Order: sequence, then structure tokens, then C-alpha cells
Amino acid sequence: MLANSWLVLLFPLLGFLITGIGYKRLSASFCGVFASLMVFASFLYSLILFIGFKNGDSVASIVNFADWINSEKLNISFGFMIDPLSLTMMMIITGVGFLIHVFSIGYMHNDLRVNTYFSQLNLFTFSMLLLVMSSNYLLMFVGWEGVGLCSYLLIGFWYREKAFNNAARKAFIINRIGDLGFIIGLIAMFTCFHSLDFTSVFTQTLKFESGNTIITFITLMLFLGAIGKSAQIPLFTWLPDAMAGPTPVSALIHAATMVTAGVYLIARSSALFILSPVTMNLILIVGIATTLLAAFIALMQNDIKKVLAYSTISQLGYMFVALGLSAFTSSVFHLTTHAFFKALLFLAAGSVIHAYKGEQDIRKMGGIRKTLPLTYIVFFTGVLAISGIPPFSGFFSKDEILSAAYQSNIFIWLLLVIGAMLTCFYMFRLLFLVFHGSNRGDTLDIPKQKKVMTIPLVMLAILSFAGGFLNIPELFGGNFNFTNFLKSSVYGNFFKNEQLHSDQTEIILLLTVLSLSCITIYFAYHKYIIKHIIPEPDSVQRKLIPNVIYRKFYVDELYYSIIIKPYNWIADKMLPAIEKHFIDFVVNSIGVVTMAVGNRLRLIQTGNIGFYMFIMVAAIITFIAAIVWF
Amino acid sequence: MLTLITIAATGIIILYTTFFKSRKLLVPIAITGALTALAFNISDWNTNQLLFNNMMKIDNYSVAFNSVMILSLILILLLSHQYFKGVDKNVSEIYSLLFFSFTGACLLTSFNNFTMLFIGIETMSIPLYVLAGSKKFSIRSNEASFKYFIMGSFATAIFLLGVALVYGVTGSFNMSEVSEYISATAKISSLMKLGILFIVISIGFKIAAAPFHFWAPDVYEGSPTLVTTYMATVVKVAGIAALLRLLTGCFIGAAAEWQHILEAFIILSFVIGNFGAIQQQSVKRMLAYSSISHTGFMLLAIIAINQFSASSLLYYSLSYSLATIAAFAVLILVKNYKNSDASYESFNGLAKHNPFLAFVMLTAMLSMTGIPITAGFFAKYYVFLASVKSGYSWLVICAIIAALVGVAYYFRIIINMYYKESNSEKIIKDNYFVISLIIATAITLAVGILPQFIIGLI
Repeated sequence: MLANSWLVLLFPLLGFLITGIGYKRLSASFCGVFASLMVFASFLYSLILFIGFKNGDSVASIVNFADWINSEKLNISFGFMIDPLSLTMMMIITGVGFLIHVFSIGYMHNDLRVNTYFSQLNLFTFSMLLLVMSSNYLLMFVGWEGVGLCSYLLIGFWYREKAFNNAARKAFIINRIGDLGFIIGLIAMFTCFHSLDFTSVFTQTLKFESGNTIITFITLMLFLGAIGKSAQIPLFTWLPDAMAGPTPVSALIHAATMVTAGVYLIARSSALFILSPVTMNLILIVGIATTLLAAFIALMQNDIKKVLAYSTISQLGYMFVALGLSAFTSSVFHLTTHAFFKALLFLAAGSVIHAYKGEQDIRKMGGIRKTLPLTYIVFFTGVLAISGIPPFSGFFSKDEILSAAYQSNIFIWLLLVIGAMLTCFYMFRLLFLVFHGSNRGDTLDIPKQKKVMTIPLVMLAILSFAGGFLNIPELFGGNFNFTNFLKSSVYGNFFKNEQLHSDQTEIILLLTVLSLSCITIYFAYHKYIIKHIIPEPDSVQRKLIPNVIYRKFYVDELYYSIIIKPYNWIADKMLPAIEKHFIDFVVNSIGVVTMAVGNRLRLIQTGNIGFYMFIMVAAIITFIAAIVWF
Repeated sequence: MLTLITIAATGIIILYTTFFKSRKLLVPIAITGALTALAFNISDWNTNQLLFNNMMKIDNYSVAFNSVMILSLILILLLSHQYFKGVDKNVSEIYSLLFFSFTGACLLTSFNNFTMLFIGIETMSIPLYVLAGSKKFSIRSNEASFKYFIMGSFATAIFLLGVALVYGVTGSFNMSEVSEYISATAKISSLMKLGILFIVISIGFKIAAAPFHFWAPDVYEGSPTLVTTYMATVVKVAGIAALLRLLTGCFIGAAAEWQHILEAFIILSFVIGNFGAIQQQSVKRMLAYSSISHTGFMLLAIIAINQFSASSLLYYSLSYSLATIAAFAVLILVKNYKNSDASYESFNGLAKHNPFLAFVMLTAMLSMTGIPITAGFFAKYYVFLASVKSGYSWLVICAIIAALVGVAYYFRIIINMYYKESNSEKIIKDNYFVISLIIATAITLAVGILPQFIIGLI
């Protein structure tokens, strides 16, 4: 059973190949169903693996499918690591992925290139599974690049729109910075450990002391890779733009799975990261800063998908905080619940956008709960989950991170609580503006909600509600199933099992957070329901601070002026000086010389057989002379 | 041995199908014969046998190279059906000549005696002289045949002279006995050196290594394209496999002598192959020159003469053969369709109406250049690795420069196919043709992703 774990990869790959090659001939309905079935098959096999793992001896196993590169020192196998961490990721990717595939059948049915869409979505699933299943860093990097490519393709799926193309490019280029870090990290790792296999590297880390320079360097570089993929400061600006893609893509790639690859990378490499306090502190700082910055920006956004995008960045920040506190299992737990509720929120938002015929501005929406009651309910579920209201899933996962923060430093805890309050505010703001009040949109038609679109929403809503029960803390009579399951995959401390602070403190903390959240929600209610405040149009002059937030802290403008502008300036200056007079000259000269030599050499090929024989004999004589001489 | 018999027998059977006047049967019979031979060949895996009083030795080395060659043969046969469609006269002789020539090629991978090597070379070459001229009314084809024959005879004479010298020194035609003699004597006599030189030169002629490559561009261009494909793949692989077998099995003790010769071959092949190719207007001629350059790369594996030589050479042969067959196949279609001289311009805008053909050509060109994920990347990589291991870093640097120059002429086709406009239409191709192209491309990609399937074999 384990030996056949490559089947998990095979199904989406087949789906990609068949829908991709036959995209012109196959019917759109077939492609959608087929692609979804392939992901479902993959999900089933992951489930079988999971059950086998639980019932078996529950030991991480390496499955070597084939040797990939074998050359002296560099030995890379085409192998899979089946352990709790990869199983969890596989279940999320295939499970949530399947629901999103099904939703897409309904959402994309009018699109002309729906077959291409599904083949790319399948390719994404394949690459993402490769990323989480591989047993070494190089193969993981293949998957890492694969998801980057699919993300690029799918963001720019409607490539006729220039802005969408630019968004795709932006995502791709910014990710490249992170990927460069990843590669440098891998090279450093190979020089240090002479291997890129997880098991080999992690066993060798035992020989190193905490704070080792080379390990710090490796982890910093890997973290740079994670920053790029998971949209953390300073490389987060691509994610909001990535919302240009179809909404199910945003749900799958830019909320549930790909953006969490950075979290997975660090959790997987926990053995390395715990040896480097410097990196861990940096992760913590970046995580907190990202959480707060993104949450602040989300407060003032008026595009329904952008709000969700910033919220994703903010929630990813939470996961990084957990990583930085070496609460790896809590981070993965939040990753899991986040995958459920954020996919749900995006798909529900997709339904709303669908109903508004593509309108995404929340100022032109409102009161749609009467037309889309089901969407309203599931969206509400998602909002409650992300806001951390018990017993919804977000409550449990966020609470784990908060209490880990409290144990480390009350100041961190405080900052995270502020983040949680901001989350409550902007999510309820979104809910109230879109679903409550009066309808401000002009082109609202009433489509009949299709089953393919509603069933995934309901399933995800159930998961968002109940996902937290996977890991009920001891405080509520649970026994940390999820944490205990994951524990063998990661290194580091497990705050939650130790219960360093008493139940009493725990309850006080919970109640504090809860009451603060409720106050925030009421504040939002007061502002948007009672006072009916609608965000101002873009043209209105805002006061200084709201304006800075509204303009997303001018990060894009900052990057423009400190990176792009100087870059263009240098490029402009270099063009005549270096490019034209030096590089072009050298390159062209090489070309000219090569061509000239070629021209001369061509002349010996006279076509005259006598001449050929003459040269051959001359060559033989030269060889003989050389032998005699030496 | 059954492999050899099957191949020869298939040739004879095909000769008799002339009576039936049915051209439909030709390709199926030929392919069945080749597949049977492939099956017999693979069944010889791991059975080291010495045959005919130690004249032949079947080992994994010969089985592996035979398999690559039979695969090439099958792919070429698949192409032939459409290729000969417009030809009125009987073509069954061409098929049987191909098979007879292939018998010789099989001998070249499994000889254990100079006599056998000689028989192999001649059995392979003589039908080829005829095949090169099989377009009877084309003056270019006649010229190619005649040139090939004259220069080939010259090379044969040199070969025999070399064998005679070696026999004169050692008193034996048997490879292991010659090898023992060389290792037993402290100093290698000049007669022996000359013998080795002559033998290496004559095989160098067969594989079109510069400066004995002169026949190649003219003959490749003049011959019917299908025959050129056969020459560029099977004949070259057989020759290079024979060379490695000869040098490891027989002259390993005199490595210092022939390594210098090979150094000269390699450098000259790079220079002439690449600089020659870059100036061509005809794709067919470009491919002829590029095959000279590929000879240089393959010789790198041989000059290294270590445990990586055989496997890296096998891998290179496979990737080179597949890419060459795919490239020539597309060339055949384009040339026939445009009725042209196979210039670069005739590839203009191929991607627009024939995306499949363009993709096949793209893969072939990338593989020849050595770009991952095609097989060509690891082919070059392993060859380089083998020679670096033996201290030939400077040759590898030359090889990398040569590979860089290669980009110029391989990518020119890609540019023409994808970025130039033209009013071409969909080119018609039969099923055999498509199957051949799919197999070649699929293996190129599969082996490029998982090189271990091949590299671990021998």
C-alpha cells in the first residue's frame, strides 16, 4: 500500500495530461468531471494511506519510487516521505482541492478555455502533492517551482486583460526572489551535509550546536523562500494582485494550499530551524509584523477579494508566529483550519461575485442575504471561524497560537490579540456590507444556485465549523489528537502538552480575547448596520492616517521608488554605455568571428573527392609523424 | 545469436515479398522481424556467451547497444511507409538492404575477434553504399553513393593494414590475446602503435570524426533522407560502440597511445562540426555537421575509459539517436510538403498549423542542445562527468563551448518554427509516422526525467 503511494501523484498527473492534450477535442463538461474525479481518486488514496498509517505502526516511512540523479556525491532519489505532516498536507490538498474542482465546474462553465483551466488546476494539484510528498529537498523544489508556474498561469488565466497579465508577472517575479533564497539554501545545505535527503540531513543536525553559523545561514535562506511563497513582509505585495485569477483559483492556490508551502517548508525543516535562534526570532518578528500590517490594510479595502487576500496574508502571519515560537504543530493546525475557512470564504465570495456579474466592489453590493441565503449562511460560518468564535474551528487553532505566545512573552500575545480584533472587525465589516443593508448594486440578477456550487460550500462550511474538533485542548476535555498525531514529524517544543500555565490563566486569557472580539464585532455592527456607513468613494480626500492605510501603507509605491525606479534608471544609463558599446560589441564580434571561421571552414568541403583524399592522407601522415616524434 | 539470425532472416523474407507485389505487408513484416529480434536480444541479458570459437561475445554491453540500435531501426521503419508512398518502383530491396546492413551493425557490438570486426564493418557498409544511391535518377544520390564507396574502401584498406600490423606483432586476431600481449610487454613497439592508429582512424572514418569526416556532409545530403537517418543513428552508434569495445577490450594497455589520437579527433570534430553547421542554409546539411559534433561528445566518453564510459556512452547514443530520428522525420515531412531544399525558411511558422510536429522538433532540438528535461541534458552531463573523472577537464571546457555554439543553429529552427510567419497548412502524416514521432519524443522526455533507467544498466 505504502509502496504504491505514487498513485496519489499519478491521478492528477493523468488528469493534467488527458485534459491538457485533448483540450481541443474533449467536451467541457467531461473535462471538469474528469479532473475532479482524478483529484477525488487521489484523495481516496491519501485517505487509505492515512488510515493505514493510523492502524499500522504509525512510523514515518520513506518510499523510494526510483533513483533520479546518481552521480558520485549528488544522489537524489525520486522518493516520497509518508509521515503525519505529509499525510495532513495531502489530505488538505486533495480534499479541499476536490471540493474546489467541483465548485469550478459550476463557476467556470461559461468560460471558453475551461478545459485548459482544469488541466492547469490538475497540474497544480500534482505539483503541490509532489512538494509535500517528496523525501528530499530537490524534489520538493521541483514541486515548489511547479506550483509557482501554475500560480502564474492561473493568475493570468484571463490573459487578454493586460492588468491580469501584469499581476501574474508580479507574482512570478517576486516569487523568484524567494526561490533564489531557496536554491542558495539548498546549495549551502548540500555543502554542509552532503545530502539533500530529509532523513539524512535531520539526523546529521544532531551533531550541530544551537546557533551554528552555517545552519543559521541555511535556515535564513530557506526562510527567504518561505517568505516569497507565503507572502510575508517584505514580499507580500504579489498576493493581493494575484486575485486577478478566477476565484476558485484564489481559494485553492492563494488561500488553502500554495501559500502555505512556506509554512510546510519550515515545519518540515524544524530540525534545522530549532538550531538557529536568530532565524526563529526573525520569523517571529516577520510573522507579527505581517499579521498586523495586513490586518490594518484589510480594514479599508473595498474589493471583496482583496480583503480576503489581506486576511490570508494576516493569517499566514499567525502561522509564522507559531513557527517562530517553535509551536510547529499549532502552526500546521492553524494551516489546516485556515484552509477550510478561507477556501470557504473565497468560494462564497465567488458566488457573490458570480451573482453580481463580476462586480467585486463591496460599495456596490449589499443586502444579498435574501437572494443568496445559503451563501449567506456559509459565509457567516466562515467569518465566525476566522474570527475565532467558539466552537468554530478558527477558535481552537488561534487559541493555541495565542497561548503559545502568552507563554513566550505577554507583549507578543498582546500584539496578536490586536491582530485578532482587527480580523473580527474587517471580516464583519465585509459580512455586513455585502450581505446586510440595502442593495447598492445595479446589475443584480438572480441565478439559480447550482448544486455543483452549493454542495462544496456546504461541505467546507461543515469543515470550517467542525475542523477545530480535531484538536480539542485538555481544557475542554480533549486530548490534542492532532498535535499528538503530528508530533513525530516535527522537532521542537510542544507547549500544549506541557500545560505550563494553569487552567485558570488559560480561561482568563480566553475570556479576555473573546470579550475583546465581541466588542469589536459590536463596533462593526454599530458602524455598518446601525449607522449604515458605506465606505467613501475613491475620489474623497481622506485624513492622513486612514489615507495611509487605504493606500496600503504605500508599500507598492515604496517598492516602486526604491527598487523599480533606480533599476530603470540604471538600466537606462547602462543601455548605451555598457549594453551597446560593450556587451553588444563583444557578442556581435563573437558572432562575426564564428561566422567568418565557418565560412572559411566551409570552403574545405569542396565536394571534390580527390581533395578529400588528399586531406585524409595528410592527416594520417601528421598522426604518424606525431607518433614517431613523441 | 538468435538476434542476428532473426535480423538476417527478416532481410531475406522481405526480399521474397517482392513476388507478392504488396507493399502493405512490407512495414508490418519488417517491424515484426525487428521486434522479434529485440525480444531475442533482451532475452540474452545477463547471459555472457562466447560464440563461434570465441569469435563473438554476447554480454550486457552488446545487448544494451543492440537494443538502442533495434529501437532506432524500428522507428526508422515506421517512418518508411509514408516516405516510400510516392515511389513507383519496388522498394522491398531497400528494406532488405537495411536489414542486411543492420546484421553488420549487430556484429560490431559483439565481436571478439578482428576478423569479426572486419566482417561487421563490411557487412554494414556495403549495403549502405547501395542504399545511398537508391534514388537512382537523382544525380546527388548517385554522387553520394560513389563518394561514400570510394572513401569507404580507402578506410577499409587502412583498417586492414592496421589489423595486419597488430597481427604481425602479436600473432593473433583474438581480442583477449592481443590485450594480454600488450599488458605483458613493457614497451609498446612502433609497429603496434601504427596498427592501433590505423584501426582507430578507420573506425573514426565510419563514425565521421574529423578530420576523417569529409564524406559525411556530402553523403548525408545526397542520400535519400531515410537512409541518412539510418546512417546518422544506427551506423554511428554501431561504430562508436565498436570503438569503445575495441579500446577497452583490446587496447586498454596502450591507452596513452590512442588517447592522444582521440583528443585530436574530439577537438577537430567540435571545431568542424560546429563551425560547419552554423553556416548552413540547409537543415539537412546542418544536421550532418551537427552529427560530427555529436561524435566529438561521444568520443569524450571513450577517451575517459573508466567505469562510467560504457553507461554514459549508451545514454548518449540513445538520446542522440532519438533526437536525430525525430529531427529527420520532421524534416522529411517539411521537405516533401514544401517540395523544397529543406532550408531553414521552410520551417517558418510550422507551430501554427502543425503544433505536434513543431513540438516534436522542439524536443529534438532541445535534446540535441542539451537542455533539461530532455534526455540530451543528462547525456552531456554524464559524458562530461566521465571525462572529468579521468582528468580531461580541459576537453570538457572545450565541449561546453562547443555545446554553446550549438545553441546558435539548433535554436534557429525553433525560432523559425515559433516566431516566423508563413502561410503553411496542415501537413498530412500517416499513423506509422505519428507513432514513431510519439515514441521518440516520449522516450526523450521520459529518459530525460528519469535517467537512472538507462544509466544504471551497464
